[in-house]
Amino acid sequence: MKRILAVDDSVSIREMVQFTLKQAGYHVDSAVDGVDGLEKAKMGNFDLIISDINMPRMDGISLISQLRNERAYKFTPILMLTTESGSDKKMAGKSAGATGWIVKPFNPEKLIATVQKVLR
Amino acid sequence: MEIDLKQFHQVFIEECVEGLEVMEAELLKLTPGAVDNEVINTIFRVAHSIKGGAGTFGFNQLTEFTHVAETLLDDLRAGTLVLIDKHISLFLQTVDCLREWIQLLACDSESIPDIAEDLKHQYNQLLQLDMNQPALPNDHDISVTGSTRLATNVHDDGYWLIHFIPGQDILKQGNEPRLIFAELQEMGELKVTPKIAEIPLWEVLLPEDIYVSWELELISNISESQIKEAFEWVEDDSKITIIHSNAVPNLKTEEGNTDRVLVVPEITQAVSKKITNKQSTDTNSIRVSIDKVDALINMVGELVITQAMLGELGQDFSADKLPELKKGLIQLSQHTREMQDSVMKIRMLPIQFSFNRIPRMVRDLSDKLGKNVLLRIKGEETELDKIMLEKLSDPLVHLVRNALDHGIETIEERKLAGKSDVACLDITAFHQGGEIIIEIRDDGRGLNRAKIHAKAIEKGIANQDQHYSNSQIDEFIFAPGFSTVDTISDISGRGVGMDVVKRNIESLGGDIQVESKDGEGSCFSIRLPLTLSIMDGQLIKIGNKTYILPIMSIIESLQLKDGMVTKLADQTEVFKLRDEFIPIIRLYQVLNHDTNLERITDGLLVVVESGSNKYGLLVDDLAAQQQVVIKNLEDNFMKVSCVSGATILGNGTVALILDIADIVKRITNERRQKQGLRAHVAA
Repeated sequence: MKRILAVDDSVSIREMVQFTLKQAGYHVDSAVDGVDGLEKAKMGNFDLIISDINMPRMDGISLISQLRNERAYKFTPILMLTTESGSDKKMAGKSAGATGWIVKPFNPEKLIATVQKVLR
Repeated sequence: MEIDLKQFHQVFIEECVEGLEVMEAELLKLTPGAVDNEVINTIFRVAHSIKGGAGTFGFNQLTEFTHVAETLLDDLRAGTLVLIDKHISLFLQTVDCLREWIQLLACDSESIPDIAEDLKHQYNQLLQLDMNQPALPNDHDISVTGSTRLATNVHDDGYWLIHFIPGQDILKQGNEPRLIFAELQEMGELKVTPKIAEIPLWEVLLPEDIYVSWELELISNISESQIKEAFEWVEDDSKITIIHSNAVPNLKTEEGNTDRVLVVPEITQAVSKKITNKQSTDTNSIRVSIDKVDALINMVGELVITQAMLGELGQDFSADKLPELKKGLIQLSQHTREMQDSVMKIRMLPIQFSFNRIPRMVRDLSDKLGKNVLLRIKGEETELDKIMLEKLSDPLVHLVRNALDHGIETIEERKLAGKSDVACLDITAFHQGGEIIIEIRDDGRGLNRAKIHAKAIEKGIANQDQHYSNSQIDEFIFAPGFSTVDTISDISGRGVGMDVVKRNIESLGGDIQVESKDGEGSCFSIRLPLTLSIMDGQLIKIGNKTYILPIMSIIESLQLKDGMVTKLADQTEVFKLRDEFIPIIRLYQVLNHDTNLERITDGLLVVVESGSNKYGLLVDDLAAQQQVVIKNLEDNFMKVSCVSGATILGNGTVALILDIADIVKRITNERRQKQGLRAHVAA
């Protein structure tokens, strides 16, 4: 079973992502911010990481660049959750090493479709 | 797959409520001119989360509304706008508006708070946006293309030739060409031809970079935008040309030169499951930190082990195993006690929850009253039973309002009195013994005793001929129907007076006292028990009955000796304890029981405190001390005077818990009636 780590400081988004992806047959762990996410990523062996951008303690951009420095996550797909207003964020994320993005607001179908783009 | 987003609404609403509280608290930290970026960031994050959630869970109007607020915050964060007081007020109003909105959402209502449009207008003015311009320009387009990706617009079967020269870095971003090709293959028939002309010499080749490019031939009736979407994440770094022709050229099969990359997509069948809708109708939920739950689970584990051990002992028990049994029982009682503590802790929340409303209220009220007030809150982390927290909010609000309205003077008055312009309001919470103390202290004018005295006489609360001490006069403000303000202001409320505050706090098993110094301020202190459901009790014997006294109210116990008791003129028995005269209450008389005592010196005197006075309760004997679980009498039977509740003792019998304040009240009333009667007879 493919393993996904969802990082978001919002409980509701986290629960929604987790629930949706579990229904789609993935194993999903979650983390509450960048620091937590990095820690969990180091411990678990994830096939995909989905991360929010605006988070306390460590934001998504720093998380992505730190993950890319980890040997285990050098080539792992990392998707960021962004809002429509974040085109400069998208670029910042890309240069930090993000694979792609999911634009908020998103619905469960779109989430699954996007995840399937990178987990086949 | 169908997923009902409604199941997340409750979580979203709770999250918003919490977020708004954070937002409000942070807003109150802001001062124009000195902007702390971390504070702005936190506020921004809350607005951003609400917006994101609202969009995801389908509350589009809420998204639009928070979007304008977020935009302004973003400008402040980026430093393109300078924070002024007007912004703070606008944000605070936004918090109110959002609170109302969330409430409406919680009731499944689709209506919008009236003030929302007005606020949005104000935001747009500040942002100098054209009102007609839609707030979210791209949003809808994106979500539409997203969801109609697989909708088949009828096209004739077309031939697409795609040249894909990937950016060298795309592997390091986790983008694999293989996956992009797999996506294209789902759209039609795909032929992939790699071009390897650009591969450099070994010496300069970086193994993590891509040097291969591809030529893709796709036969499909899809649109160009659908193809582009497959390349969405790499298009900025890569060179992609897409050529379309309606005629499918003859495909030359050059098996020798080209490798056919076979892409076999794994088909992950999404299992469509009907979601059982677990409607969380129970809004009375409580958030517990994981540590507390872990501690509890740990204790349960210990308990199970002890139980297993005792069970094994019981299988074939013989007298020589008695020490082991005793050991087991001691362990069991230890674990039970610890577990009880852990369970009680789950109900405990930081008092912050009651204090949250105060900073905002102080800001608004001091503006309105033209007073300059510095609020200092200490001990927000002190924990208190959840039920008490809820019931404490209103009395606290009332006390703070009173302090601002009556206690603290206007700036002019303060100048005249030679005080600093800025008045201080200190709210402090802390533990003391088994109690929680909350103090509300202001440095205002203090209680006006002359006025209170006059008013008390006017209202018939005080007796004109009697002399009252300062503290007795202060107590009058808690009497029912007492209010010193001649005209009712809209700040200290109407009708609801300090008597209600006192009653509320007493109903929580606590009490409230006031200390005041003329011209220097007053301090209201509230004392509360830690919890309502369990307390430490002292078992006492009266005749052959067992009663319980709350240990918290006991100061000491002693045996009287001959000649220690004096009778006052009104037949009250008192005894001298160190420098104080303490009235004696014979409990058997109050409770109408027989007593085994022949003389007062045979019994024991339990000195208790009620309010600020001490009383000596005469009992036959003291028995064990133990923790008792309080069962409410009103719920199971009816309110009984002098009794605050009941409990079940270890031997299965029921014992009543005495309500000392109620006993004292009853005795005082009886005495007053007797006095009145005598006065009547004398007249």
